[in-house]
Amino acid sequence: MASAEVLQRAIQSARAGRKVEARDLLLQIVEVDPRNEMAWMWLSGLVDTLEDRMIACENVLTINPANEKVRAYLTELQRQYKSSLVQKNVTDAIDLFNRARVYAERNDVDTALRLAEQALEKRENYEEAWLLIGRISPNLNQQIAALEKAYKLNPSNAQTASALEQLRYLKSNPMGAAARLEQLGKFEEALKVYNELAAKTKNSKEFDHIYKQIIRIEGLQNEKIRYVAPTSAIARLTFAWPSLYLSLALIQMGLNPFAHPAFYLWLGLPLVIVGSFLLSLAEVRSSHIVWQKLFGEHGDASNFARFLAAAAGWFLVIVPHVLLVLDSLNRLQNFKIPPMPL
Amino acid sequence: MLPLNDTEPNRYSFFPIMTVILMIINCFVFYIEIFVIGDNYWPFFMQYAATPRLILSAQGGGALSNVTAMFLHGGLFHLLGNMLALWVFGRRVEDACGPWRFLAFYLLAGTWAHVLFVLVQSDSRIPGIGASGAVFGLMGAYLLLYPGGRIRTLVFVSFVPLWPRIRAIWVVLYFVGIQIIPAIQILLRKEDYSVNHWAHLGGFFSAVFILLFLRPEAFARYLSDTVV
Repeated sequence: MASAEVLQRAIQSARAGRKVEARDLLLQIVEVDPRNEMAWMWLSGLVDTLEDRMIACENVLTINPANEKVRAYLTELQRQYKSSLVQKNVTDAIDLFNRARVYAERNDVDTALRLAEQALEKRENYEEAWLLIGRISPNLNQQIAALEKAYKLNPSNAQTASALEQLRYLKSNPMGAAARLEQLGKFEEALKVYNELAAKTKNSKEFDHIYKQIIRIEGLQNEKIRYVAPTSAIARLTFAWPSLYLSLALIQMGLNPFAHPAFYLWLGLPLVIVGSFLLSLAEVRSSHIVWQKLFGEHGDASNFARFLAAAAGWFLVIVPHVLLVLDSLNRLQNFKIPPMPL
Repeated sequence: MLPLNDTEPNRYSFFPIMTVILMIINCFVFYIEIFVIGDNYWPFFMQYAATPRLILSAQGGGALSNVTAMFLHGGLFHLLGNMLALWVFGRRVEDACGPWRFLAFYLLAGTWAHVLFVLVQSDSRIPGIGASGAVFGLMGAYLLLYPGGRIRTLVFVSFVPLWPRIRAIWVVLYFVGIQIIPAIQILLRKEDYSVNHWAHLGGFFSAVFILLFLRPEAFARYLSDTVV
């Protein structure tokens, strides 16, 4: 049968809705005559996938580059293909990110990082994936780079901006970074930072100090000491001085705070609590919000900021105690000494 | 039984500065008592010792007298006994707290010693003096922090002096144990004793507060069942 006849039959079948039959006939034609423009044109409408349609159109245009109708159709097909590809990538990226998050929650950082990176290969502007890497990566440079990307994608995210500033601070203060890792109970990572610093500072004054830190952390690792969060350490120490003040105030009030109310004694308690909190804050190395709000410092504060906090803390702790003593002295002045019992 | 020394070394600090300062202040105040106050001790004690009736009626020095009472002693052996115990049990407790928090804990233990004394012997007009309440607080704290610690102790077996290293728990339990019967007698007979047994027990039980005063590293060790 001549190819023209087969083509006619294929067209009739296509018009009658017998798509499979038409497609088979057209495929027979292009197998024998690959430069049959009409056959490729009809095929472009009968094949199932976008990719096959595009191939058919491209073949038509190879045979006849002047076929503008097919060119326009190919452009539309390419647009559809691109959009379907993007949609698929987005779905894949979300799936990979969700898996990464699950692994991160299980503390499997390596797998979580790998999946997050794969998600970013599928969708580069995926803010959450960058944030996840910024949060879990053990590499400070990678953390900073990831948060920079996230911040670029969404500059209105204040949390990202703050975290980024904090990481940049830690990068410029490696000793602070190591101390912070230690606070978080990440002894291995802290040790890594100290070892890197030790290698850099060999034959300098700082080396001895760093070496002592290394020995100390290795000791902590061997002892298997339980991790206590800095926040709970601060909270615990905050109650130390107020417990003394409260006991002294109770004695001053005759163990009955209602029978001899002394307003300033109760006013002193919040002062001692705030003072004790500042003293604890100055002692426990932590990246507390107070440092950020008062001194604009990220990470654990500078020695100067801690000195100021300690000075304010001592002042607030001592003043109510001095008031207690003054009240006692005042009472002693008006005190009539009872006779000695026989 | 006389505790002589805690044989274990310090972990965090080189020297127990606050313990030594407290010992010096106690000795200095005793010197004042003997050579300056002399026989005129009654008005001095009324003003600067912890007297239950005065404390409960909010008269006298109140909080100040409560603190000064911890530095007054009734005799040389009273002073020496307390200072020896302060040295034996205070050194490593200070090491675990740091000097300032150690001072706060010492004063807190002394205060709670007086609180229990006042509550139990509320009618007493006898002034309570001595560092023993605070020292018992240190003993309790030592027991909590170093239950496996050993104390070099002087004991006499048939008049023969021996100084073995005894587990702290036995030394502390001995000293707390000998308070209990007289303390019950005070409670039942409502009598004043020359020794302030309830203040000793008050100080001892206030030792639970030590957990608030520990250095962060010492507290982490305490939670980890390693030596503080």
